[in-house]
Amino acid sequence: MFGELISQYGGVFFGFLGAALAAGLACIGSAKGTGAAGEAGAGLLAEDPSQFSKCMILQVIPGTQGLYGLVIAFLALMQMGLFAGTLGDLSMTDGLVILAACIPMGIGGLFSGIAQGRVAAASINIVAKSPNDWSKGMILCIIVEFYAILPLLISFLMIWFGI
Amino acid sequence: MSIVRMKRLRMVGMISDREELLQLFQHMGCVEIDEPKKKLVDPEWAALAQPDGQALSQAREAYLSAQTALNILKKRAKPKGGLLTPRPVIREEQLFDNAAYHASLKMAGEILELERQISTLYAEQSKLRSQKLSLVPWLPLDVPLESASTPDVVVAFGTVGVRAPMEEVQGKLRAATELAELKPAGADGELQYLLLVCHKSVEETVMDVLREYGFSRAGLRGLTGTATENDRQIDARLAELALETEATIAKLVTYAEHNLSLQLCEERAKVEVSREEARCRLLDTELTFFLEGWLPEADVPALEQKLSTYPCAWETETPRKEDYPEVPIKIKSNVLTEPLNTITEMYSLPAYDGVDANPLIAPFYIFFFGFMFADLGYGIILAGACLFLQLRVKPKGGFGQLIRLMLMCGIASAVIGFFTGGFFSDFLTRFSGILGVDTPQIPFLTVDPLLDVMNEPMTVLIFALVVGFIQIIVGMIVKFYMLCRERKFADAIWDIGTWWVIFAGIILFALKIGNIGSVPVVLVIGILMLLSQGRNGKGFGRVTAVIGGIYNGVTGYFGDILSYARLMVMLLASTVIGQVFNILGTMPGDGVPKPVAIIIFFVIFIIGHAFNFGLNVIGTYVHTSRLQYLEFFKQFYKEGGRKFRPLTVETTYVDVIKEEK
Repeated sequence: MFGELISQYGGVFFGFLGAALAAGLACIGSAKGTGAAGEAGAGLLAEDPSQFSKCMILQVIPGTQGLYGLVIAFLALMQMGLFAGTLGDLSMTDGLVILAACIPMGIGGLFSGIAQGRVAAASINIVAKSPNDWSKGMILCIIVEFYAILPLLISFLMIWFGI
Repeated sequence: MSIVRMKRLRMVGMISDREELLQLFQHMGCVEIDEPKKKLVDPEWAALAQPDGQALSQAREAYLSAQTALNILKKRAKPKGGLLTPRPVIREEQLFDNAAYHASLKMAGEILELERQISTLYAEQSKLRSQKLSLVPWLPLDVPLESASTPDVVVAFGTVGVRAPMEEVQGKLRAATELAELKPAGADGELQYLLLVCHKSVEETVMDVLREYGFSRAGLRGLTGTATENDRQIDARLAELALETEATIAKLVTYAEHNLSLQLCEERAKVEVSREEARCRLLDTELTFFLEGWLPEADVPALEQKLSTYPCAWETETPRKEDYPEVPIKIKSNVLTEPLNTITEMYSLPAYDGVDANPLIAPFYIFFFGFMFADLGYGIILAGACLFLQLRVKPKGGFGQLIRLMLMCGIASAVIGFFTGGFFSDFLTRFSGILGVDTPQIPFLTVDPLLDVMNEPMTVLIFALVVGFIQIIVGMIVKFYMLCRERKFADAIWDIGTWWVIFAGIILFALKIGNIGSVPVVLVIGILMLLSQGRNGKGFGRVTAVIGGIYNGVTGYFGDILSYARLMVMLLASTVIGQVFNILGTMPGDGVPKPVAIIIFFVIFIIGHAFNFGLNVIGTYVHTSRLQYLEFFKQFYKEGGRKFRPLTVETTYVDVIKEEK
């Protein structure tokens, strides 16, 4: 009975679980990251509203992890055949492959988003103290970005070539 | 193309010529004047004094007032112009026109005065407003607020807490005496406002009753007439002030047309400040001054010619090796390498005995950027935007260098994008799908690209590592050259040559060439050469030096080469994200009329690709720079130079045409 349930719906379930984790965890990371940077930015803007654009750019940088998560979730759903209407044919193996493939993006996006948010929040200090050097803060943030791009890539390769 | 050779300049001139000479130097823009630190502590030089800084502080004051006036105008009048407005071009004599300078300074003073008036007006308005607010509770009373006690009658304005029950207070008062009247006025959130009138004889009694409820007198000193009259007066005065403020602001706004003169004034003041700063670095006797500084070797003849008409003594000296850390660095570049200055300066300028890295990183930088950002569409947009900025604004300084660098990188992106089959990722395929036509067959772009990152990522990865290997080898060749130039031939051969033999050995081993009896000879020779790492150690130190050398080499070189995998990673990431947006754009259009599908597609396409473009330009810039700094410079770069800052005419708002005097 249970075995039948798993064999019939398991593939779809695990595939969806993977897509859900990729999008969900990465978005948590981005939300925490942009949140931290936004708090710091609001503090500065209370004093000096003219720095709005710089603060906003720093704030959106940790937002990319959520987008990468969405990209992976989207590709996963596409490979599973959700959009083509062939979802029912997904085998158990393929579902598990999708789940495993989504893990790097989920976890990588979660933690890199938080870490990048902290750098962005600290970089708001640069905007406050020497606004002309703020692009250096942006560069520090982009260094963390790379470690969101790597999981994006590995998740992509696994989904694209895995099933 | 190289680091400019510098000469130490020492000069003694007449004080009477000082101003003229400094102006001459500023015009020529080739002399950096030093602080004579060593001379200042030398007792033999103690008789010489540094000039006073009075003129400097005057110049700084002028600069500050021009700057503040410009900021005020920017805030109040919002003069036209922005990033895209070309800078006006002026002649040098226009900048040094004293009459115009003083007129503009006077104008700056007027602007500051107007701004001060405006803030006084605002302050008065806010004071009146708070006064008006404090009058509100008294408005119901029609008694003049200046009403004072007479010898027989006590008149008092006062307050009790908002919770005091008014009827109870009045009842108690009536029980205590008949000779008192308490008239409530208004109330606010905290207090009830009252007017008390009573006969002098019962003042004590009345006060005893009221004190229970926390009665305290209100200070209304200075107000005459009823509260309503006062309120009306304040309103009238406020209206007057508002008109006056408006008029003052309007007057201030009329200065906006003189924005350019004020900018010129600020430029001029800045020029004065830098010349006065230079003057403060001189040493004076009563009639002469002493100057010490740096000058590019190539400019010596020009200076010689100019100085020949002045009574002065001067000499130049080639810096000795121990002076190298003090020599300022000027990089001589051509049109291709000049934009790379922004990259090397962000890291650090080379030391005087180092090499100019710009020509070395130029091809790699542009190629790496183009490779990571490879997309025909993105490249054209980037190059086009930079070209537009360059032609229209002609930006200067670091920003200008960045724009020119991105122009070259954009062209590289477009070219490499063409060969790797990227035009807004897979736009052509997807859009043809919507239109229901076949994808256009363009060689490389849609048919058989040279490198297809989506389908053959491994090939691209290997290509990236090979490119990285080439850059590392170039770095090692430069280091080899630098060591030979310093006559350290042994170091060059053993530290660098060894690894070349090992690399060659590995390649030959992989290709199965040159093996003698299945022993990879070249590789073995290379590994034996590694033993030379112990040549400077003693005893057991030799062993640790060898082990350390091997460890550093293996982790260093191989780690560095692996780092070039990011070339493939960034290319793939931007392609994938772009492709996802293209797919997202095609999806909602399924089953709707074609024109609607096309509109929806382009909305999503523009938003998505704008995002991908913006993010990847920054990301690619950072990663390309990083490959130069960490992987390439590590091999050879000797950093730590100080930038050559000659006394010159530096401008922000305008471009100055130099004229021969």
